[in-house]
Order: sequence, then structure tokens, then C-alpha cells
Amino acid sequence: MTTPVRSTLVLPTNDLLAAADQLLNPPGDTALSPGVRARAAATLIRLALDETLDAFWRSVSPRMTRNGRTRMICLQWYVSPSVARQWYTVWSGLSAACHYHTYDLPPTPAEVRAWHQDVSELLRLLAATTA
Amino acid sequence: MSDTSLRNLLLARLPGSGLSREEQALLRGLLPAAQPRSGGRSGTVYMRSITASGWRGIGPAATVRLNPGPGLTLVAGRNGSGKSSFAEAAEMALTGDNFRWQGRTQVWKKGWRNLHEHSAPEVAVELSFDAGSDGEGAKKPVTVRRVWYGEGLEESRTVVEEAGQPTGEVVHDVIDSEQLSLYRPFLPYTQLGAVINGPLTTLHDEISRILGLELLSDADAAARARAKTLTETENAAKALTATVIQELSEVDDPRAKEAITALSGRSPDLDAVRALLQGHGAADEAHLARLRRLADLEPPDRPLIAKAVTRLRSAAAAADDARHGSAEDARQLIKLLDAALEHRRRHPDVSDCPVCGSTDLLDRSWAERTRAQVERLQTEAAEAEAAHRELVNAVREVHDLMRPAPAWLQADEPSLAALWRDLVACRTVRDPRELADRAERAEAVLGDACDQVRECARRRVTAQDGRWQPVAARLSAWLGQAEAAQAAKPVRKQVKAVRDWVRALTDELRDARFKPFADQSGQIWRLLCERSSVLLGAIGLTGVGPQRQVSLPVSVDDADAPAFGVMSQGELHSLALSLFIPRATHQDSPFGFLVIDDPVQSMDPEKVDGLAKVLDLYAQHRQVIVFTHDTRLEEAIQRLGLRATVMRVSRQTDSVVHVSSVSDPVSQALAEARAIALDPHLPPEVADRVLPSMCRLALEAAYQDTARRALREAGIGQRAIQERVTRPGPLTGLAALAMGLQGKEGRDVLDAVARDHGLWARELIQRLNQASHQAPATPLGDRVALVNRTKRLAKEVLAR
Repeated sequence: MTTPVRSTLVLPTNDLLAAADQLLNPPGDTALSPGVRARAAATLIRLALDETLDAFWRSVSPRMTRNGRTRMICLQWYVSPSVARQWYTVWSGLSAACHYHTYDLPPTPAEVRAWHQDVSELLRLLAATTA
Repeated sequence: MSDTSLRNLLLARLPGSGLSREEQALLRGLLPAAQPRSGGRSGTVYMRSITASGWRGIGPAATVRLNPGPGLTLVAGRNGSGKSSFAEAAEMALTGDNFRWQGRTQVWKKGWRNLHEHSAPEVAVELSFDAGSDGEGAKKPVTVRRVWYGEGLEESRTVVEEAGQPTGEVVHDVIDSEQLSLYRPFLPYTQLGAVINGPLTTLHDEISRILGLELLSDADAAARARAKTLTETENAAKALTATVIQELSEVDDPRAKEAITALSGRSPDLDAVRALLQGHGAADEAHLARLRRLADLEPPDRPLIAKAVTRLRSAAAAADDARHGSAEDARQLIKLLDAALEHRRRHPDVSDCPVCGSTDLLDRSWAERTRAQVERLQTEAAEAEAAHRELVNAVREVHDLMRPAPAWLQADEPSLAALWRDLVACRTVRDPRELADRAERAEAVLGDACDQVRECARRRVTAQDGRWQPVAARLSAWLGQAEAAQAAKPVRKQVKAVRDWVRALTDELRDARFKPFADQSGQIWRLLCERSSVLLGAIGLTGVGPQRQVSLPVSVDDADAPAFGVMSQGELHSLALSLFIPRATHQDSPFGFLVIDDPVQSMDPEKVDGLAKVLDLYAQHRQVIVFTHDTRLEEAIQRLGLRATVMRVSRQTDSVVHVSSVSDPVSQALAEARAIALDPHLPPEVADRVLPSMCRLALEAAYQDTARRALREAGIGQRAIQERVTRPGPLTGLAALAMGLQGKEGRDVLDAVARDHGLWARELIQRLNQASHQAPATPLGDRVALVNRTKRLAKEVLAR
């Protein structure tokens, strides 16, 4: 049981994004419907974002809070307000998309693709600030 | 740019325009007269409050208080809470019209009155006037109040009040309605659709007006009118030429033929026509001159000749009676008798004749008889001599009357000249009787012939002149037209050159002035539709005349597409906002505010985020007031950390509307700080780093707010305020502005803070400053207490 968890943990964020990319642009013969693929891709993207930020916060303080809003507010003082706000926007959107809501429509592939772009950009920005 | 500066720019460009001196003078003449700046208070207008009662969803009076300066205000409320009623009340108070009622039916127009409130409906907007860039125009706040006295929407009257007292001004003295319709700072949801659905020609015209190039278009219109007049003059001359040629061809007159020749050329020979009209035409010389001479021909004087001939005849008869010879005889005899009488006198006693020798004959009686005979003979001789002299004179007189014809007659009328020669030939006749007969005959023939010729010539001259007169009048009218056309031709060319230049200048200035507009539209579009597959290219003002429009180059996945075919409703609204916001916030607009009612409808979450960014962008320089029915915009603003004042409108039963402030930049910052302070899982080192900065932000927001207010009250313009308040610097700099201590050292400001609020306040600021700039040396301690102290100071600062 530990091995798959481990392998997920060690799967680099780039690979997570690549997998999401594949889900969004399937080779053609896929049994999955676009809605399912979009939600799956959103989950992968969110995972990549979370892992990157967790790694960032581990370098700041090992016991950083899991509260999203607090993390956002704090991030603007460690990175920059614009990156923090963008992270929070994307993170809120992804969080909402990764759960089923009876009152909301599932994310469209286009929306997930946009988040994919945003996250790639954010990871680049975070990497630049922590480097 | 104002009319005057555009005029100056144009005049400054003129010398280098390449236009001739005449063309430049022409253009100066075409420029419309300089208009004095129309009324209205200068300086930027901001809204301080909107009040309504008995109006739409609002029963008893309710007020939305606004911060009269740049910033974003969100007025949120559920559908039917009355928030839109406020937006409409503001527009209605200032314009007396609202897009919602334009072109609506009467039934719809009746819905404006509140059902629960039975007092007279009333809407009011309190305005403040910012100092213009020249420092002029700052005014005391003014309230524009519209009160309805009748049942109809039109039955209202507006009063302008200052400090609760009517100023006597009308609303147009305060707000220029033309500019209101030009810049449209009110943007209801319904209008967002209409701007795109309306003809793009109208949009083109409205945007063109914003660009402020009317002076040029007016000049061009004047030039066009002038060119039209000139062309009409030329065309009229051409048409008249054709008509006159037609008329001339029907006239039998050599001058008419000459005139046709003069008129028929590619360019009519005006000089020839002018000469013709003055009677110096070539045809006139040749033919008419002959007729005129003949008409004026003087024949020999018939009565005189008749008299002379009669005299001649009687002289001849008298001469016949007293022959020349008998007179001579008488004279000889008189001589002889005189000699005999002399002889008798010398020899009185001798009565014998010494010649014949007869005696006693030459006696006294003889002498008496002879004397009598001598007297008689003398008389006879004198009579005969007189008759002879008379005859000679009579012949001479007749000869003298046989005058020759004028020299030209031979060429003009040879037969008459021959008759005339017959008359003159009489001069050679010496015999009085023959002379009398021939002269009489020749004169009779010649006189009759002359009369005939003269009469004929006169008739012909009269006839020709009778036909010519109207033609000549026509021709001189034509000449006037032709001269005008001739003068018009070079002027028309000048006008064309002037128009070309004005158009080139218009295009250049329009492009230059439209560019920032188009850039802003593009920026708004990109913020709103970042993820859209629809791309909006550079919008432009294209085409002239009926083809003029706002071009909206749209492409979908790199394929050009018609804007309205491929856009979703949300995208169309975004496009409308992209066109409307730059217009409403144009630099020349006197309106510092922008009211948008319900822009969020039909927008997806991405666009709401984009809209929040757009609103925040424009709120840096404008008072942006947004009415919205859902919480998505508010949520986006908070998520994006944008500064905004949020108010909530709630409506109880019987239309009792309540407006409450939900948050503002200070409470926003304090709320975030409190969230940090209250998170039990936040590691202390992170909290120590973050919290002081957040508290400092809250204080900064409070000081900014108070500083703005203080500077505004000091009569400083919003642009300058914005520049001073947002200038990066220490917190004490802002505090100095808020406390009226500009230019004071940070230490002095801190002392003033300690004096006004207590030592704790100074300590708080110093601590926050220190912690914001470097990692705190000591742990923060009680986080919640720090936030509370910050809140206390912020409240005291705001209450100043």
C-alpha cells in the first residue's frame, strides 16, 4: 500500500502537469468522457500546485498552517501580492472543481486548460523566487 | 482637447501646410467662430451621495453615501432590494432621463413611482467639484434634487441647492447635459446590450465627438458647402451657356452668330461677348454699320433745289426780256445823247445838228425830250444788267446744290451713287433752261431713290435691334454668370486643396487621439476575456460618410469573424464595457464618477475576476460605483485583495430600504490581519513576519482615507491628492498629510500622534514600521492584541 502512495509523492510536479496535459489532449481512442477527464486533470493540477506550495512552506516553516486563506495572505509577504492572489484564485477554483457540487456545473475542459496554464506559470514564478 | 487649443494647433500648422496664401486665408475664413466655453462648473465632478424617496423600489428616503474621490465602491443587494433604483435615481436626477425609459411605452413609464410611499417622489445627488488642473473650479458641494409634482415622469422640476439652500441655478449650470450624453458616466445593464445592438455609425459619431475634432469637421463641412456653392455656380453657367446658345441659334442676326462662336468654345470667350454687348462686335462693324450709314444717309435738299430751280427759271425768263445786247445799245445811245446834250449845253444858241446838218432841231424841247429818253434808257439798261446778274447767280446756286455723294456710297450702294453722279453732272450744264430741267429731273430721281434706300435700311436696323435687344439682355445675364463661374473655378480648386489638408490633419489627429482609446479598449477586453477564444484586434474608426463605423476586428482561433456572430452574451457585454469604460473615463470628461449597474450578469467566473481587475484599474483615477445583484464580484474583489468599499442594500417590507456599509479598505485589511491572528496553526515565525506588515497596511489605508479627506477639504485636486497619497513612503508621511503636518519630520509627526492618541499609538507605529522592514528581534506576543490596537488607532484616525 505504501509503494503507490510513495510513488505519487515522488512523482515530480512536472510529471503531474504532463499527465494532466495528456488527459486534456487525449490521443484519440479514450473511453473517458471529456467531463471526467477534465475533473481528473483538475485533480492532478491541484496536486501539483499543492505539492509545490507545501514544499515552499516547508522551506519557510515546517509546521505551516493548512488554512488556505492564511496561506494566501502570508504568501504575499514571502513572494509577492500578485503571485499570492493568483495562487489563491487558481487554488479556490481548483478546490471547487475537484469536489462535486449540486449547485454548480462541473468544470469545462477549457477552464481546466486555463488553470493548467495558470499553474504552470505559478510554478515558474515560485521556482524563481525560491531559487 | 478644447476647441481653442485645436484652433491654435491648426493655425500653427498652417504656415507649413503647403497651402498657398489664398488657400490659407480661405481656411481661416472657413473656421467657425470661436465659441466661448459653455457654462457648467469646471473641475471634475464626484458624487457624495445618492438619495431617493418614493422612487421605484425605494419608499421612505434612503441614502447611499459615497467617498467623493477615486476608488471603487460596490453596492450589493439582491434583486429587488432597490440597488438599481439608486443607480437610476442618480441618472434621473442629473439627466431627467434614464435609459430604461427611453422609447418605452406609457405602461412601462408608469412603474417608476413607489407603491408604498405616497409622498411626492424625489431623487437627489450630492456632488462635489474637484479643483481643475488650473486650481479653478473647486466648489462647495451642491445637491441636485428632482421633485415630481405630477403623475407623469416628465412632471418634475429640478433645484440646485448649496448647504440646503437653493442657489437659483438650473441643473445645466452644474452639469453639462451634452457632456453627460457624450461621455455617459452612467452605464446600466440594459445599455450594455444596446451599445452593440445600436448602429455602429452612431457609436462612430459619439466616439468622434469625444475625440474633440468638431472644429475640423465643422471647417470641412463649411468647405464642402462652399465647394458646393461654387460648383453650382459653374454648373449653372454651363447650363445657361447651353440654353443661351440654343436661344441665339434661333435669332437671325450676325451678332447672334458671333456670340454662338464665342460661347461654343471649350472655355467661352468672355471678352468677345463683352465687346459684342458694347456694340463693337466685328459683325456689327461690317453689316450693321452699312445699314446704319444708309439709314442716316442725307439726300440732296429737295425744297432747296426746287426753290433754286424756280429761281433759275424766272431769272432766265427775266434775262430773256432784258437782253444783254439792248442794254448795251441803250448805254451807247445814252453816251451819244449825253454828248449831244453836252454840246447843246455848251452852245445853247446853236440849234443846228453838227452831225447831219439839219437846222433848228436841237432846241429846248429837243433837249427836254432827249433828257427824258436818256433817263428811260438808263433804267432799261440797269434792269437788263440786273437780270443778267440774277441769272448768273441762279445758275451758280443750282450748281452749288448739286453736291456729290458721300465717298462710302459708291461701295455701299453703287446704283444710288450712279444716280447721284447724274445729279452732280448737272454742274457742267451752262444753259439755264437745260440746267433747270436736268437738275429738277436728276434730283427727283435721286431723292426718291435715296428715300427708298434710307427707308429700307432703317426698317432693317430697327428690325434687327428689336430682335437683338432681348438677346443682348440674355447675353449680358449670361456674361454675369460666366464671370462668376470664371471667378469660382480657381476658388473651387483652393477649397479642394484646403479640404484635402483638413482631412489629412483630421485623420492624423483622429488616429493619434483614438489610439489611447483603442489601447484602453484592448486592455479592458484582454482583462475581461483573457481565456476567450475570441480575439479582439485593434479597434478603429474607419470609413467616411455612410460607411463610417467602429471597426471591431474579431478573430476566432486565428480566423477572422464577424464580432456579433461568434461572441457569447458575456463576451458581447465585455465588448460593450471595453468600448464604454474608456469613453466614460476619457481624460476630457468632467465626470469623475462612473456608475455601472449590474455588469456581472451573464459573465462567467473568469470574466468576473477580469471585471474586478478592470474596475480596480479605473478606480485608481475615477470614482467607480458598481451596483451588483450577486456576491461574485464582491468575492472576486476580496479574493484578489483589491481595495473597495462594499455596501449592502436590503429592503424590508413596504419598501423600507436600508443601506449599510459592509467593508472598506481599512476593515478589509483589518479582517485579513484578524484572520491571521486567529489562525492557531500559524507558526510564530511566520506570524511575526506577516502580521506587523498587515497591521501597517490597515493603518496605511486609514491614514490614506483621512489624508484624502483633509487634502480635499483644503481644496486640492484629486489628481494631486492621488499622487501624494499613493506616493511610496513611510507611514509618518501619510500621517503628516492626514494631520495637516506636511513637511514635518517623522519624529515630529510621531510626537503629534502620541499627543493626539496616546503614547501607545506612537509605540504601535514604531513597532509596525520596524517589524515591516526587518525581522523582529523579539517575538510578537499577543497577536490578537496587536490587531486590536491597530483597529483602535485606525478607527481614531478615520474619525479625525
